[in-house]
Amino acid sequence: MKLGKTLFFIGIFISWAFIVGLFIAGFLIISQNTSTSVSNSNSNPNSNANSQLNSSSSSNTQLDLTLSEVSKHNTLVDCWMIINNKVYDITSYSSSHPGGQGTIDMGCGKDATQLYDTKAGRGSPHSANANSLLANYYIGDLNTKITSSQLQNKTAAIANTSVSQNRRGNDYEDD
Amino acid sequence: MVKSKYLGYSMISALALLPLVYWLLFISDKYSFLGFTSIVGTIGKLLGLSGMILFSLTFLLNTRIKFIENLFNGLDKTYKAHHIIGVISFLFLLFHPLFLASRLIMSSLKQAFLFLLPVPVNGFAVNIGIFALLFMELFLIFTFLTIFKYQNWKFYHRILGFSFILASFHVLLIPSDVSRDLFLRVYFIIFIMIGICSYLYRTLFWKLLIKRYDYSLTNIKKLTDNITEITLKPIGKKLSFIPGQFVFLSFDSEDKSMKESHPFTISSSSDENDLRFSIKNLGDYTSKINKLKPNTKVKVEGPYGKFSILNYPSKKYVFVAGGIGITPFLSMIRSLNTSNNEDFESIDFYYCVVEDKEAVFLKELEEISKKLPKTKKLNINLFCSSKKGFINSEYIIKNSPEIFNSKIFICGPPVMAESIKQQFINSGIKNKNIIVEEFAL
Repeated sequence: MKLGKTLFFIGIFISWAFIVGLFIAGFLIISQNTSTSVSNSNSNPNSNANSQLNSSSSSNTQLDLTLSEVSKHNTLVDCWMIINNKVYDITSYSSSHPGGQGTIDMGCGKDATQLYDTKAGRGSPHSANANSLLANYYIGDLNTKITSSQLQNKTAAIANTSVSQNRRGNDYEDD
Repeated sequence: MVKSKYLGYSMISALALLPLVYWLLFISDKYSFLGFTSIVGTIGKLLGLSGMILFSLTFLLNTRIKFIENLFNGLDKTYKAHHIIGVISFLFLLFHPLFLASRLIMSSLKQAFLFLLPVPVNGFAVNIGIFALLFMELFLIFTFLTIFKYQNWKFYHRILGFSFILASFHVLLIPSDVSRDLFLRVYFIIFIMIGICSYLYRTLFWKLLIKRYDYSLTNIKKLTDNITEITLKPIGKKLSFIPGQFVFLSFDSEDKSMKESHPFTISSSSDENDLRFSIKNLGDYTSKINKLKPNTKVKVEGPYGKFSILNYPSKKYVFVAGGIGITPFLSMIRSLNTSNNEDFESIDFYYCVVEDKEAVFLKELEEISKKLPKTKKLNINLFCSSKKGFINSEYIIKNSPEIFNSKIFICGPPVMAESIKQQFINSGIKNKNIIVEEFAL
């Protein structure tokens, strides 16, 4: 009985510490993000880390966001998807996907609308939460043109929303 | 006859692990354990599955159904299991969303944080789960802090059924492996039904369905400053029990709080017509026993418990009683002359009290000992902690060298009983030969 009571209160404490911890960490990251994005905008966009993605194209080349362009990004390390006629770059998200990386893999480089709406054939649509999460990874509408500098800005923004994730990613590489 | 000590726990573990095994065998894929995110997601999912099954079984353990009591060797131990399983299920369910939120940490701390709060973006199914958990936390805190009187405590504890119903909606509505897989869905629906039926049975139908015996309070006798003996006479049919068992009493008194049913061990012999109870003044309820009027109607529910030599046949017994923990032994010893105890040869009885004067039953026990046939022996050993310190296994083993071939019964304050039991086990006595009455219901 006594042990049960102790475990109970320890459990409650850990869970609320976790929630409060998330809240505080969120604040810290947000303030850090604002400072990074400020420094990014001050510096020349050409120095952006993501410029390597489009190193071959000069800053004002137009890129068609067609199915064939999307299909070039068909791996987990470079993963674009079309969902409801919008193109998303979800490379940095794939490892966080609740349904596992496997289901992301199925949609890379493709029109994944149906996969997304049915959770890879399991029948249920994604939640509102997932929809808002997805919006963070938006590049542009399907069959529109985008300049490579616009693309760079978008990918930089995506990288910023998932700054904590990137940091984790580096940890893994160090391992 | 009594079953293995761990039968009930083994069955519960099997039932809680089955969905996990099924999930690992038939649903998980190579991506379920790929990387940090997938692993914490998987852990969160599995905690939810097991936690919900255990939550449901917690209600079943509270039903006082004979079948369940038999699985756990007595209602006292069933209630202990109810506490243990309840706390485990709570911890599983508490950490279930934390792990699921952890997998979002990688992509967005904000999302992870919001996932744990009942905000509209999470959707109805998630939020109902969050509310179920918040209710559970709140009412369990009320329960554990015991800042309330017994009656209120019971009320708050019962509200946990509401939390279970919310949790059931969460399980059934949320898109998950339970909604996609037929076996898991059926399995969970069965356990949700078990939980809800147990809850309704215990809270609503139980009073109508359970058999209670009508007795009348005939005598109230003060044995010491804080021990009172009450005698109950049957009005209708007499309750039959085996010595060592306990019943729930509720007094039809003007004082409404005496109507709550509380457990008491019968201290009279099973052959007497009347029921006698020796009650120590330990709290609100027991202190009011003195003030009851003769001829008060009493409802008796039971009997419950397996703490009896008749359930553990043996030639030699060692009894260890601490303070008011003597009551089941009183009943067993008072029944020695009359009941079917043909097998036994000797009982070594250690009667532990603080002061000599508290040993109010010593004289009566010595009389019984004298009247026993020559082939049977009852050795009474009074032990006063104010003179000799706390009783320990070394002392008992020295005085009862046959203890290794005996069944050992221990009843007393929980700390003392647990300590003695542990000392015996450390001295090489087999756990299965030690029977402890789990006093704190």
